[in-house]
Amino acid sequence: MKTEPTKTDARETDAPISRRDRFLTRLWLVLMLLPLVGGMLLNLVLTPPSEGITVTGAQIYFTLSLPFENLPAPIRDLPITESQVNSALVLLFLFFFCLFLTQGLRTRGKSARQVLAEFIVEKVEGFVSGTMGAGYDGFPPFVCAILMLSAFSSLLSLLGLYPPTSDINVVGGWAILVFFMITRYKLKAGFGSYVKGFLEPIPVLAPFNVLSEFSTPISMAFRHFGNVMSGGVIATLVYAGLAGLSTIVFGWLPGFLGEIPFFQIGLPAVLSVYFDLFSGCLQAFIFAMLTMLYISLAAPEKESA
Amino acid sequence: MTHLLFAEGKFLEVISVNFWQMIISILNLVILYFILKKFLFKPVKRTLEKRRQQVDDLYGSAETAKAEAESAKEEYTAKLDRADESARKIVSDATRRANERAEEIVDEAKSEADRLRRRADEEIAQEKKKALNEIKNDISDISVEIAEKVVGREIREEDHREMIDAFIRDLEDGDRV
Repeated sequence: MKTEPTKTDARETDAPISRRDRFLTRLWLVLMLLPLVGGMLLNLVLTPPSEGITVTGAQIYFTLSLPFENLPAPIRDLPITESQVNSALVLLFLFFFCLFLTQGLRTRGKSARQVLAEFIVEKVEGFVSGTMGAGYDGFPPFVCAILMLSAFSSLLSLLGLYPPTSDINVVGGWAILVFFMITRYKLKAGFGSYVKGFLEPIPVLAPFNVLSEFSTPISMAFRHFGNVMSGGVIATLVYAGLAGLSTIVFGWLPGFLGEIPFFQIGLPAVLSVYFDLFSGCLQAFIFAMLTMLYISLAAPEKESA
Repeated sequence: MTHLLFAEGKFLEVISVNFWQMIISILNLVILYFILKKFLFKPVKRTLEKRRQQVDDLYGSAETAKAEAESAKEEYTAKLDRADESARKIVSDATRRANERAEEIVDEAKSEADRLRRRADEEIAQEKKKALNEIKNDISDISVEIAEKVVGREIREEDHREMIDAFIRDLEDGDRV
């Protein structure tokens, strides 16, 4: 057996974990959690107190203006919002999460971290090959990226942060990327057959075919966006409603006791389990699934009956 | 509490489309794709591949060891067979030699006995001859004495001995005839 002494090389035997490994593992763990803590602190500092029930989009931290005066305003202005900041936090988190999982991989005597890393890789690869069939070797990391980015973005709401997936621009961007990939796979069969695909089954239906082509990314984006955002809206409404109920039932209590919204304890947590945990992961799964299905359907030569 | 730092306190509309935000989102996804590919999938797959290789190697060496053990076993069995054979050969050789030796000993004993008997016979014959000679002498002496007595005078022994001997020879010859 020959081994290349690369830096992240897998250890050959079940030798004891080196101090360097242990140190780096802890370092990655800290760096992994730092963006989340930082995001919460940022949220605490930057969020103005809300008055009443407001359903808004992401908060705009500041707006960058491109130095081109003749551009129309929507293109010239780049508002940096909670979506962008929180997406960046999720990216940082996931980057250090990967480093944390793959620190000190070994072929024998694997740790719980390695079990998780291998589980993720093998599950996603099985998921991709099971859905798309063979011949899509580059796809597992992409599908995994969609799954993780979507799921962890949605899960940010568990920390009280604004989930980037409830911004239509974020999921819209993903859907557009997927749309380009679908189109690229359709063009692989040749431009002629791509155009011909719009004329089937009869040429009269061509406008509808074009519409349905563009409805794919839009439906994908709005499905994801709508689910996560509606979860947030419902959570806000329930929260406000429970506050009002508390005031009615416990308002007679003396002093500050009357101001404590007792009903807000408990029920929102149950709702959060559904809207944040379940719905967030489900939408991530659906988005990844649709991506794989559309792309594997778009590649005609790979199809088998 | 008012908003702090550089926050403008403004919010996007619930549905607001912004070109650059979409671009950023696409870039985020692409960046995450490369991060996952480089830092999660590549090392994990390399480890899995390496483990598979190690298992293959283990199986290979196990097969080799098994084959070696088999050949060693065959060799030892052959050696044992050969040892058995040579042991049998040694025993049979020894038995054969022992038999031969025993026969030799018996033969020697027989020939010795024959030799002894022959010598005994020879001795007996000599003794007999000696005894006959003595008897002959005695007879001639006695005859001379008897003759002296008969003749009544002294016969010169030397004169008559020849005569008597001739007489005895005649007797012997007569016996023989």
